Amino acid sequence: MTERIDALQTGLPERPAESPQTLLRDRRGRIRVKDPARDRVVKWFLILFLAAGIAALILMNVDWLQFLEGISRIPEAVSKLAKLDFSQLSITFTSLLESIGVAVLSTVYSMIGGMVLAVLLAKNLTPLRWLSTVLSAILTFLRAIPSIIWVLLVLVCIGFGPSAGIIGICIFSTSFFARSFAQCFEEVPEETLEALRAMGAGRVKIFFGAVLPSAFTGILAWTSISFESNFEASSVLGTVGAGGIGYVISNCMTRYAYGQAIVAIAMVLAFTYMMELAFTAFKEKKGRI
Amino acid sequence: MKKVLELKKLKKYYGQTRAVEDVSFDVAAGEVVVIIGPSGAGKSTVLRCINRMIDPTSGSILFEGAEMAALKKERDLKAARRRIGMIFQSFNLVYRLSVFQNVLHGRLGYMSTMDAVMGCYSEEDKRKALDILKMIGLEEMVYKKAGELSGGQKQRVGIARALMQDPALLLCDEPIASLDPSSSKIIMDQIHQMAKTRNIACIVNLHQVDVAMAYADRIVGIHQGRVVFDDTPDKLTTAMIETIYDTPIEQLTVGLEEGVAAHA
Repeated sequence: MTERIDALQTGLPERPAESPQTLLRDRRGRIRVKDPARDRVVKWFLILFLAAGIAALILMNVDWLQFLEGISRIPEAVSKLAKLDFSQLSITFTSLLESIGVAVLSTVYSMIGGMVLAVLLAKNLTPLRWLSTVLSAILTFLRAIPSIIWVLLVLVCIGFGPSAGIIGICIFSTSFFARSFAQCFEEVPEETLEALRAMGAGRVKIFFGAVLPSAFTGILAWTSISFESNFEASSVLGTVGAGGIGYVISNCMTRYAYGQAIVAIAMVLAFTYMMELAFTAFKEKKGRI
Repeated sequence: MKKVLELKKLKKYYGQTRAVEDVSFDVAAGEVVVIIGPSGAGKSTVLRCINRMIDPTSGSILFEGAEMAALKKERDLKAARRRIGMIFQSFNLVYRLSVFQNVLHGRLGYMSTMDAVMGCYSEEDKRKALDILKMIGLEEMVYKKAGELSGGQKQRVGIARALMQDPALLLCDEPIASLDPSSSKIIMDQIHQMAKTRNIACIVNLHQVDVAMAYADRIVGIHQGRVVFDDTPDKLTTAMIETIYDTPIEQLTVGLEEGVAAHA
């Protein structure tokens, strides 16, 4: 087995790669185009995943009858939702603005925090190696907990309202920014930093002169991704009591005011889509080289 | 002529591994010294010891009469580095920034941190940068991003950036190793011209012996971390080249014979 792989890799002149003993054949004697032994890990992973899926299906005990009944009710639900109701438009719009505000503020705050942490975290910039390791562990922990959980925890401390939403999202988003910015900084070639160090520039000058401009495209991309997910989080947050469009939607649903709910949902959709288009256009214009 | 740099018994070990064993030579103002030697002989290490990008194990580095090897404080080291320009094999520019900004980076060492962060270069520096860009023939490219230039043009930006430092000494680490022959000639001509017109001491690491012959005032041959040759190019014999590279001459660079013959 290992002998065969060695022969393939080194391509010894006295045993050319197309000689019969280095070629693999399947049961019917046809030439194989890949070595099945090399895909074994992937195969086992898929088998395990399938097994887990089947186990989950048995454990969950899904009521398929109810599921089928539900499907038959889809037209009814759609017709309810289709009755657009614009009566609450102004309050819906205000709460959408509130959600956007929460997303913008939390993105800006966590960008600043994330930038500072990223400098300490990036392997090529950090002044202290151990600090980078410790920080990395802490941030991983913060990131492992979804922002909605953080918001609930903050709600307990400071009560209902958008500020709880901002703080909660910031905790998650800062650690996300720190990690992704640090990655952008680490991608800046060491040679570029060496050039600036050789001419007598210090850490701060190197960071602003070379690292930040080089990492700009990456920073832009991560910011747009994070802003989208922050907006998503801030719209969901309403349902747990942190205000915004989410509160309007959940309130409408509990009042069976589907017409109003669908208007609010459509507004969220429209905003998300516009944002996506704007970021794409900006990146194409500005992100070259 | 005034000595700008004197290296004495420079030695660098990485643990037990030898990079540089014993290197001593000096460079005068306006003099072009070319270091030749096989890969792994320690050419790059010598260059990086001079501006203390690498700390030497022992030995003395006298730069403008001051001992570089003894500099302890970060501030003193930075002040000394400002006077030493460096040119790299892979150019090491910030490709997202404009040619102009890259050239102005040469002033970073002289500026206050606040000005550097805000990118506030003085009008005087800007004018100086434009003059240098004009001299090296890149005045049309001022606002282009450095990443959009060709290899030869990038290296010219590298030279311009080094000149912005008002260097007394220029360290060139394989400046033409990733360039085509015609760009190589332009770069070597410009380095040579700058050294002469601005009276800058110049140390160039090179792979190509023929190029070294054509441009050097003095050639330093390094073999296994030791200086085995230090003289004018016309004294460099075929036998000496074989000693430096530890290889018979036929197996060295194509076209080398003509270069040697021309100088013999």
